[in-house]
Amino acid sequence: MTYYNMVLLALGLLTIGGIIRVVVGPTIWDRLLGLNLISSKIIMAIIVYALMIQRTFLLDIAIVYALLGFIGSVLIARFIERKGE
Amino acid sequence: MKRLLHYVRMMAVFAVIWVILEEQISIATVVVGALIGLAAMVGTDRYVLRADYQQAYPFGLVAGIRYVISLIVQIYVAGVQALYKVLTGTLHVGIVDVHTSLEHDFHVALLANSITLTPGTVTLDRQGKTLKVIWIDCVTTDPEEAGPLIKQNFEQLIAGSKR
Amino acid sequence: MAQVAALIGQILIGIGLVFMAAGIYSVLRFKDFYSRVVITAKIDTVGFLTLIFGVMFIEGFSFFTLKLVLIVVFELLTNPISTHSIAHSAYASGYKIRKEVRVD
Repeated sequence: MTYYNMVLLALGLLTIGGIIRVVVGPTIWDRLLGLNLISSKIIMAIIVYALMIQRTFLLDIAIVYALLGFIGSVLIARFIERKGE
Repeated sequence: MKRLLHYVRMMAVFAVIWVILEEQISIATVVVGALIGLAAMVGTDRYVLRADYQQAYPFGLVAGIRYVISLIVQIYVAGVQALYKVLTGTLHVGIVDVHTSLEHDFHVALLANSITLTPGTVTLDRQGKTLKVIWIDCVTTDPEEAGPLIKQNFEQLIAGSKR
Repeated sequence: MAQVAALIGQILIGIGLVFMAAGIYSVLRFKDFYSRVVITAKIDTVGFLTLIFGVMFIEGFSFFTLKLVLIVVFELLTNPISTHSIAHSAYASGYKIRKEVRVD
């Protein structure tokens, strides 16, 4: 088991912590915060995997994922402001 | 004339970004990147922004790079402090008002972004020149005292970057 | 020389993982939403930057590193905006400090 495998495993365990906050979270904003954390963990996992197999096209996927996560969380936050009115 | 110079400089930046994305340096990629950057700039100026780009975003390239470097240093200082506060569990969260002397909308937005990224603070709301800020360890609620502690030296950096 | 750079990079990746673990720990532990959002935004950004700097050290100067620079600049621009929009959404909907408001 190499070092990068262990890093990926640790990132997976941290993602489970974010999922717990999304499932438990008393308010809807807590869930959104957990979702934000999970998306940043996934970007980092993609970067470490790209380093592991030495392919640069995975970094393009990371850029696109960062864009979509940003737009998604901003849109949801704007939508649920003042309970969706 | 100044407008043309600005276009040429921004086309160079877009060409560099295009070369990085394409992963090969040749005349064809540089030219295509510069042309796509020009098309994006003209389209933005004419249909999206409906105003002059330089007046809407007055921020120089060199000043921007210097600003990003000092921002990264501040992020690390704030991160270590926040780590200490998390492990000891000494939090004292409160909301304070902060006044700013910056004039331009874009500069106020940049200041709010920097406040969100550094020492234990998140910008909540803005009314004119007053920012509402959540502060992790709220020692005072007076805007005059809290201002220098929260803003650090960002205000001078942003104000000094005007062209 | 390359091995020293790789070692420094691996140590930086480990430090980044420690920062991110502190972020997840604080998001699970604190009771109030505002303290969660303040702590998490900060520590998560620091962990992200440290891990990417570690990867840059391992890779050396190439297109890989330049693309990582693009990702870092993009993240510095967008991360505070998404954190701010979540906090502003809670504030505009009338969330008060240390008071649980349930939204069904």
